[in-house]
Amino acid sequence: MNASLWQACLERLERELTPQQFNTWIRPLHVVEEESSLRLLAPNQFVLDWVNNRFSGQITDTLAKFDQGTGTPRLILEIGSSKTATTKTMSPASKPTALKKRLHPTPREEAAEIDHVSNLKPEFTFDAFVNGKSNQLAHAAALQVAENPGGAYNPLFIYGGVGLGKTHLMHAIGNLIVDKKPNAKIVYLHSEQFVGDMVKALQHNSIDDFKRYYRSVDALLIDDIQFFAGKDRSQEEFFHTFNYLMEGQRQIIMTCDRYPKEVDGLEERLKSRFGWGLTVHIEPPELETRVAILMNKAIQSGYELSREVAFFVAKRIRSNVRELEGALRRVIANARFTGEPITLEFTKEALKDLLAVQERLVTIENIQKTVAEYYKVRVSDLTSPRRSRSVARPRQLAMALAKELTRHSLPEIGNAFGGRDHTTVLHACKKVVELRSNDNHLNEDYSNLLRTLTS
Amino acid sequence: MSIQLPLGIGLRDDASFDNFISGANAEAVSAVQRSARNGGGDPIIYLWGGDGVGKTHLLQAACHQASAQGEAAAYIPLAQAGELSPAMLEGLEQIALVCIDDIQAIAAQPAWEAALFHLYNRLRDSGTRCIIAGNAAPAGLGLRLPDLVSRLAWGLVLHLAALDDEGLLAALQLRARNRGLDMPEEVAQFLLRRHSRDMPLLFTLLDRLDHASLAAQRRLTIPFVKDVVG
Repeated sequence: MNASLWQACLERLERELTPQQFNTWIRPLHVVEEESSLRLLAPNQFVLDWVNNRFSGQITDTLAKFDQGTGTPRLILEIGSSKTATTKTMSPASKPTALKKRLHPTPREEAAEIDHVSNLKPEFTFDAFVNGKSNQLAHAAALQVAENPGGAYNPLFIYGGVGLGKTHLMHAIGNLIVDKKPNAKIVYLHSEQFVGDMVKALQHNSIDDFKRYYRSVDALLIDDIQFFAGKDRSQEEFFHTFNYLMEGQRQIIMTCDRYPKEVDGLEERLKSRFGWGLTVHIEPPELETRVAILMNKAIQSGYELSREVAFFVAKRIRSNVRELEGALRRVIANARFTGEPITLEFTKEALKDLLAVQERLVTIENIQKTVAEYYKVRVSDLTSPRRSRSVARPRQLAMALAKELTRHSLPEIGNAFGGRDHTTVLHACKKVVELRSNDNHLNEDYSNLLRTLTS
Repeated sequence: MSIQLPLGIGLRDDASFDNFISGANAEAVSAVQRSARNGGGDPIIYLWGGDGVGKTHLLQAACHQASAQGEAAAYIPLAQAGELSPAMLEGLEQIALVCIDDIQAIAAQPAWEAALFHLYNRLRDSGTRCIIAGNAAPAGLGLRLPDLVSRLAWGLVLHLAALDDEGLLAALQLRARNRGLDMPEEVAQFLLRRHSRDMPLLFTLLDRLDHASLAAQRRLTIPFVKDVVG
C-alpha cells in the first residue's frame, strides 16, 4: 500500500476535525500498512468504537478517493499498538501456556514450565530503604520474611497510608529472596492486575492456566489489596489461591491502605485469613527520617543537599515520602534548568508555589473542620465554652495541630477557638505532646489527622 | 457579522511550541517540550494553573510534536468526561505520549479516579511519557483517592503563571499574525485595556474580529474594532 495514502487521510482528517478530536481519537492510532488493507490499531475498545462510529466513513471515503486503479484498500480496525503489532500482548497469567501438552503434570513440573514474570523493580532494595522509627517494625518483619520465606510470618500484611514505602518494602523482600535463591519464582503485582488478568482469563477460556500460574509461585506479592473491595469473583479466586499457597508453605505478602478488618467490601473469611501471620503498620516518617530520605534521594540523582536545605524541605512536607520526592524532583529540575547551586534561598524560590498551596490549604478553620469530622463533633463544639471530655480532647488536638501546621500565634489560635487565652493553647500543646507519648490510640489519631491535613 | 465560535473549535488549530509565549513559564515549557521530544527528563509531569494560562495549548502542542516524530500520542480531554468512559484509559501505556487535560473535572468520581490511578501505575511501569494538567496543585483538586493525589505529587509538578500584559500583547499579536491578520499594537492594547486580560476570551474576540474583517474587507483599526466588539 502506498504510504502517502494514510498521510492523505491524516491531512484530510486534520482539516475536517477539531484539533481536540484529532488529538484525542486519531493521533493515538497506530497504522499498519498492508498490501490491500490499512490496519488501524486503537489502544482500547472504547477508542476503537468511537473511531469506527464517527470517523471510519471519512477514512474510507479518502481511501477511495486516492485509489489509483489498484482497488480501494480495505480498512481494518483492531485493538493493539506498535508494541503489539506483531504479537498480541497478554500477561503471562492469562496466556495459554505450553502446559496443555501434558495431561497430568506434577506440581513441580508444572511450575518449571511456566514462565513467571516477577515484575520486581531492582532499585527497590533494603539498602535503598531509609529506616526510621516510623517503619522500624515493618522493616524488621520484611527482613525476617526475606530471610525465611514461607516461615512464621506468613502471610505478611503491611498497612499504612499512601506513599510511606509499603511497595518498596515488598519489592525489597522479593529482591532479597531472588538474590539468595536465583531460581525462586516470585510474582509481584497490583491487586488490580490480578482482577484484570482473571477477567481476561475468563474471556479467553484460560482460567485453569490463570490458576496454575498463581498457584505455582514461591512467593506472591500483592499490592493495594483494598482494590479487591466489592470484586466478589476476584476475591473468591484469590481466596483459593491464598489457601493453596499457604498449604504449600509459600510466602504471601500483601499491602493495604488500612488494617485488614477495616477494609469495606472484603469477605470476612479473607479478612480473617489476612491476619493469620504478621500484620505490621507503617507510619508517616518523622522529621529525621524525612531528612535522611531527602539526602539519600538527592545523591541518587547526582546532587548533594545541605542539611539546612534538607531540613527546610522536610519540615514543610510531612505527609508522605512521595510528596517529599516530588518536592525534591522540583528543586533538582529547577537547578538543572537554571544551572544554579541548590542553596536555601534557591530551594525556597523553587518550592514557593508548592508551599503557598500548602499554606492555603492548612488554615485553622480547616483544622477545626477536619478534627470535628474525625471525632464526630460539631465545629461549634470546639469553639464553645463546653469542657466535657468528649469535646475538650478534640479541641486540644485541634489547637496543637494549629500550632504545628500554621504560622498563627498562640493568641490568634486561642481567639479562633472561642476567644480562649493563649495559655490555654500552650497548655493544650503540652498536653498533646504528653498524651502522644503514653497513649497509642491518641497518637494514632494525631498522626491520622496530621496526614489528612497535610496531603 | 459576528459569529462566536465555541472554544476549542478553530482556535487552537495550530497549537504548537512555536506559537506559545512562555513569559515566566520558561522552565515548564522547556520540560514539556523535552518530554514531547522524548529528550529525557522526568517521564511524568503535572502542570497546574488557572484558566487561560496555556495548559491545553501545551498539551496539544506536545501531541503534535510526538506525531511529527512518528509516535502515537493521545490527548484525553477530561472536561468531556461525561461523554467519555474510564474504559478509554485502557491500553494507553502502549502509546508513546499520553496527555491528560482538566483532571479536576473527574474529582470525586470514583470510577474515573480509580481508572486514572491504575493508568498512572501502568504508565510508570512501562516508562510511558505522560503530561497531566489541572487547575490546582494535586492536593487542591478535590480528589477523593489519596493514592492518586500522592502519585500526581510524585512526578515533576510545575506551576504555570498567567502572562503579564507584555506577554498577553505578544500572544495576541502572534495569534493574529498566524491568521494572516495584521493587528497593530495600539489595537492589541485597546483590547487588553477595554475588554479582557483573559487569554481564551481574547482569542474569542480575535476570532470575531477575524471573521468581521474578512467579511467587511477592512483592516483592524480601533474604530473598526469598536464597531465589532463594542
